Amino acid sequence: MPKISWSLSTVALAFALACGGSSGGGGGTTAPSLTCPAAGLPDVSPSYSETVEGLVVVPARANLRSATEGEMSVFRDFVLELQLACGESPAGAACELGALRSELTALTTADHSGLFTDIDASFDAALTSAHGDYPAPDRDCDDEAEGVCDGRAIAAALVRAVCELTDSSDDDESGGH
Amino acid sequence: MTTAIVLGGGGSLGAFSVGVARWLLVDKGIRPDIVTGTSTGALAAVLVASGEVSLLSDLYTNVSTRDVLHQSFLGDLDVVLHGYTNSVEPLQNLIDEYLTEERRQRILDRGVKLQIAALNLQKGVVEYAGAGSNLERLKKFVLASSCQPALMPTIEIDGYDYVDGGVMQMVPVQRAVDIGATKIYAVATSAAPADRPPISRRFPNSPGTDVFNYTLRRAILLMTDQLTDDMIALQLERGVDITAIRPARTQTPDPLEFAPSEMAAMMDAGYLRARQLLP
Repeated sequence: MPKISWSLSTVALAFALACGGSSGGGGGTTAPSLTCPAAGLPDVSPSYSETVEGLVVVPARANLRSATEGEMSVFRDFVLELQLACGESPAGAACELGALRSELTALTTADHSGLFTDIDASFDAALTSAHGDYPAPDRDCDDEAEGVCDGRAIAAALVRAVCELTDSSDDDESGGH
Repeated sequence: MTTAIVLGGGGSLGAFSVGVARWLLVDKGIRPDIVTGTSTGALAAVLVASGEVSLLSDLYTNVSTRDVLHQSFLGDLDVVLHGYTNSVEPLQNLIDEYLTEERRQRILDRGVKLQIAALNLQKGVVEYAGAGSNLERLKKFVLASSCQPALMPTIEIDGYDYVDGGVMQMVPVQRAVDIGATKIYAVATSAAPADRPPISRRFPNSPGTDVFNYTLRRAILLMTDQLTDDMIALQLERGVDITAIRPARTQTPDPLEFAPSEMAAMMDAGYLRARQLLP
């Protein structure tokens, strides 16, 4: 009998672990978790959105490396909400660039006062660069307003930053995000 | 003022240069007139010259060892059998995919002087190819520039054997000066000598008995010290303004191990280092 109980417990634990997800913060069955992009080499001719994403992810990730566990948790929750909003059709209000930036800079930081404002500050240079390379008609914005299009791309970058940092402890040379 | 960005070699450590380039090109808005590169810096130089730093950073955070090299399980013994230990067919495929005619034309249209360094073994001199070369020649130079002797094969171009330009010009600042640069941002991928802790005699993932691999891979890192001598000479003799950007400390000992998470970390270190040095 004890052997059977132990086996059932093991199976239950394995099932719970298997269903727990790799990047999400929640452990419950209904809690949404962050969906990380698939690994792979980038497109040889990236779109506007991919370009913004690639420009934003580096400073975001670099700044987040000094984040405490608490700050990372706050940021992960913010990014999860962002991903959900940007995944709606039409995009939720939180996905719009102005709202996104307001929410980001309003996040509280206990240890690094400039953490989230530094991430926010990197958006301007990235967008200026991408806007210069892609005139409005060449952007893959599907007739969305510029603020939503940019917000969506930046949200994707922030998701990637969290995913790449979360996965960094256990990926190997074949790993990704 | 004629501005140059000079990107040194160092295999996977080149991710550091990518982070630096991200800061210089995007945050500082620097538009270089000249871009020179050796080895991994040659690959990066193409995308810096074309102004595609986003693609560059995505490439360096997604590429893995198998996308660059085919490492023989025979290890050191492969030198005896083939003359080198790693096949570069994957790297050649990568160059074929990303170094397109459209990209070469884009560099020309931007008016950026791109110079890729490779060593001509017969002549014993470093030679350069740029966007003005035809595409096939430029691709061969980028590949040759990345081929560290004995670790990788020699590349034949016009009847000559070429290898990594880093053997003689690890951080090709001299070339940038020769073609008119007066302000240079030179990026080396290993830390200055005082910031380098001793490393283990074995690299964790290297094949074979490792003596040969260890010695050559370690040498790759140390060749960057040539930059210091070049800088002093050029600044004193030619009055060139050179800013050297190097890691605060060496982050990984094996330049031929391409691990996405480690490369992302090096890239971030490059970004933060450049931000610190050039606020």
